[in-house]
Amino acid sequence: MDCKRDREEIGAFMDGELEGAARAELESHLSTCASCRAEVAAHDRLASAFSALAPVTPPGDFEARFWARVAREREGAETSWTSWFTWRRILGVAVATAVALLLFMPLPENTGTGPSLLPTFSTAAVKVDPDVKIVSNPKDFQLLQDPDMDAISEVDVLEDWDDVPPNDAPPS
Amino acid sequence: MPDEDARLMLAFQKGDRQAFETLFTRYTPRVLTFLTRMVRDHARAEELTQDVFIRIYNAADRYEPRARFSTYVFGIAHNLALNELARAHRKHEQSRSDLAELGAIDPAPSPVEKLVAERTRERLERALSELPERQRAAVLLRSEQGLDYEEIAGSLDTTVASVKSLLHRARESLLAALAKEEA
Repeated sequence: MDCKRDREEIGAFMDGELEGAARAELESHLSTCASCRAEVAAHDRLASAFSALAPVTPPGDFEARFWARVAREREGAETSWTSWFTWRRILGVAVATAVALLLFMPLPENTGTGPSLLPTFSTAAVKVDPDVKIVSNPKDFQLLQDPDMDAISEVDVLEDWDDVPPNDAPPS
Repeated sequence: MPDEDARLMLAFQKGDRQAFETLFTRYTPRVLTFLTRMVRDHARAEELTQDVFIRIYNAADRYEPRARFSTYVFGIAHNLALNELARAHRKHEQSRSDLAELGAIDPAPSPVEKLVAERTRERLERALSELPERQRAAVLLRSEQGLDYEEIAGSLDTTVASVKSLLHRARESLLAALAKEEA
């Protein structure tokens, strides 16, 4: 029997973790091996040394401190929650005000000298299919300031517009 | 089948604060002792023990009794101890003078054997402090806290075979250190 292996198992034996055949085998080995019996004695000494270690006792106010901390953390969580609600309400009012201003504020008339407030599109990013007819109100079309955009779609728009009968024309 | 402590934890999960208080009273000295020996700083060990129970308290809703309750508790304590040791190592704050903090430990009860016990205790604590962290945790959980191998494996997130090996190496080192001091 390998004594080195037994030594590793002696700890398990002493800890009550060795059972059945393995335990019986080791017990049998111990009866003939002085070296392993010395190992058992050493484990016993170590166990005695551990028993000399007294447990560390928590101070008297330990539990009170724990519950105070629980209360503090809970209060902190509630405060941050309340604070979040407050900020959310402020944010909501601010957003609503901004939307209302945008909706009801009259847009400045385009004089053609400054940039338009309406979005413009760059032809660099937009591919126009030549087969697609763009139908638009010329009045709206005039608001588009991008000269490239005008150049691309003007012809189609005007051609389409020519096809539309005037309002006062009799139905065909 | 959950053990009695796990059942207490389940009772706390349903709102029984008394159940938590029982667990707190039952485990606080054990966790504090384990953490004091692991981090070798009594004041810090107290804070970490509070952290362990704060975590248990806050995570009560998510608790599932997959293992013995002691495995759950010492698993948390072990992780916090490792974090603390890593933090202390980074800051180079570890000092042998921390051992003096252990003066807060209760003295041996028998006045006659007090001196002998004190010297043995000091030697063992010194030898323990020189063990690698996982070996130290394993031997403390076994020899001081009385956890079985499966519980230790659960707490250290390893296998029973590994626990057996950790304990063997730890004990060999401790015995060698004690023999050296006695010589």
